Amino acid sequence: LRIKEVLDGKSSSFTFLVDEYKNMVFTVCFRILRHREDAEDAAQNSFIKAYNNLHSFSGKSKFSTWLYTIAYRTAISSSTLKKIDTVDEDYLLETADDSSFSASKKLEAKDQQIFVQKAIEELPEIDGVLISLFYLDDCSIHEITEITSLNESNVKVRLFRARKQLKLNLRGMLNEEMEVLKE
Amino acid sequence: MKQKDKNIDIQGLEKPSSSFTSNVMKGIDAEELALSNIILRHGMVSPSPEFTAQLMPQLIPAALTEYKPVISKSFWVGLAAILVTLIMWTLTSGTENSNALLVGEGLSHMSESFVHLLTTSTLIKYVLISVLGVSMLLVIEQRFSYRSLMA
Repeated sequence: LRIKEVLDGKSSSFTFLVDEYKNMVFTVCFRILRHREDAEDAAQNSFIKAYNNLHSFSGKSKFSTWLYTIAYRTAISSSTLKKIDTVDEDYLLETADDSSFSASKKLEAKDQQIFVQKAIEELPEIDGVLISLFYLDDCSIHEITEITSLNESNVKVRLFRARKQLKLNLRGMLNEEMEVLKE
Repeated sequence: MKQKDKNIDIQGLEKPSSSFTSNVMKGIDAEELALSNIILRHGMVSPSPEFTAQLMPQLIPAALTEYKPVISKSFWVGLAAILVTLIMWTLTSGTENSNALLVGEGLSHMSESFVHLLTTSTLIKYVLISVLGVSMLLVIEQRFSYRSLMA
């Protein structure tokens, strides 16, 4: 409905689409670029591209799949234009002992957030995107192949490997979470 | 002898409890669910609060790119007026001239219906040329306006 309204000339309806998808679009870009400002630029460019090409959205796939494909490609093209060798220092936890997280060490919510972010950032960029799409947007393997242009077996293998790595990195948090789930 | 050894090996295997597989799967499922919960809670990154406010002005120029016709409205009105005039002129003067011509050359024996047919075919010719011309203008109009919109 929103898409139809935008196509009918009601550009303000696009605000709703931006608000609905900005977090995921930004997450996809951030997983690739690993720099907040670059990711924000890429996310904005993705929305501008989507807006300008909205007439070409056929509706065969979900709007989110179409939008994340644009975001993924925009971020990938940005990352190849300039070599990324910087990590967003402000965003990462300043504590040096993140990797030694244990069940006994209770982290505050914000620290947990940063800890999880860091664990995902330790994965290869594309694996980080796959994990985000799979868990955060509940994308199917088929949708992920559409977005990333990777083949199905590659997506499955990467997801399996990434999950295994994350479970190792987040072992302490996982144990805590499993205890909570048992209760 | 080998077969006997094999039988001993198989018989010597200890069997786990009947709930072994389901317990393993429960453990895997619990781990998977826990990971899913953790990522759902902490895996998303948000852009700056000004993200939408910064984005929308960049879209406004595109949004305001209105359909601007390459051929102006006054041109179309003028063209329509010329066409109407041409058709009217063909209908009126064409009949008189043809009649005069036919009478002058002593062809008065030709039936009026034939004269009418002659003038009608001239009219059809003019109308066809006009339609063709207008169609070409419309195609040009559409192509150029589409390009300017995409740019």
